[in-house]
Amino acid sequence: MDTKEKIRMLRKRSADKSISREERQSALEEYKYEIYRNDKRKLISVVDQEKFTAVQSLAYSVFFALMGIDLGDEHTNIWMLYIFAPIVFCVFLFLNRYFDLKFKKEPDDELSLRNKALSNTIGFYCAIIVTIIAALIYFQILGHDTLVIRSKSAILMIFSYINMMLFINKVIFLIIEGRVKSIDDETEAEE
Amino acid sequence: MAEFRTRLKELRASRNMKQGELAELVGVRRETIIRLEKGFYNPSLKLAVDISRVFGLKVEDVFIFEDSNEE
Repeated sequence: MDTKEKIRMLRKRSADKSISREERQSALEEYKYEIYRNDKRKLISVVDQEKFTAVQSLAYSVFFALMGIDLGDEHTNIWMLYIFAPIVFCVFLFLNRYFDLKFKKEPDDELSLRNKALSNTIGFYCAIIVTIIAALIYFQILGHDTLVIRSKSAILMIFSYINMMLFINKVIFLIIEGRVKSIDDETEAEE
Repeated sequence: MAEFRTRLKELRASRNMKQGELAELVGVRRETIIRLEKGFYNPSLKLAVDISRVFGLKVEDVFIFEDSNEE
C-alpha cells in the first residue's frame, strides 16, 4: 500500500462510526503521524518550540508589567497602549504564522509530555517563590509602603503574572530537556 | 528492588540502525531513545512493545529487569 493510499485509508477509518471510539482515536493518531512523516518541510523540534514560547512569554510578561505598573505619579503611557502594544502583538502573531507555515512542528511524545507536566508542577511552586521574593524586595529592601494597582492596571498585571508563570514553566522544561545533551554521545557525523 | 537496563544500543548497532531511525519507527523523539539507552527513562508498555517489535524480540529480551536481591 503506498503512502497516499494509507493516509486516505486512515482518514476514512478515523471517521468511521461503525468501529469503536478507541479504534477511531488510534486511526486518527496514526493518520496525523503519517501526515507528519511525509511532510517535507524543515522540522522545528519540541525544544525549539518551547524556546520560542519562552521568549514570547517573557516579552509579554515584561510588556504587560510595564504597562500596568504605577510608577510614582506617572500614569499608563498612552503611546505604549495604542502604538507599541499592537506592534508587539503583530510581530509575535507574524512570527507564529511564519513558523507554522514554514516549518513542521515535531509532535510531543510520552517523554516530552511527562517533562512538561513535571515542569508545570515545579514551575507552579517556583512562581510562588518568585512572587514572595519580589514582594520582599519591593517592600523590605526598596522600602515601599504600598503597591498601587488601579482597576485599569489589574488585568494587565494578571496577564503579566500568567505570562511570567508560563516563562518559568518553559525554562524548567528546557533545563530538564537540556540534560539530554550532556548524555548524547552520538555525533552529528554518525547521525 | 529490581534494577532496569536495556540492550537497545547493542541491538541498534547489530542492525546498523541510528537513534533517529529507531525513534522514527516507534514514533518518539531521538532524545527519548537517548534516555532509554542510558537508563534514565522507563518507557510506557506501548513504547516498550513497539521497540521490541522493531527488533523482532520479546519485551523482556530488550528491557531487562534484574532483581538486586536475587542470589
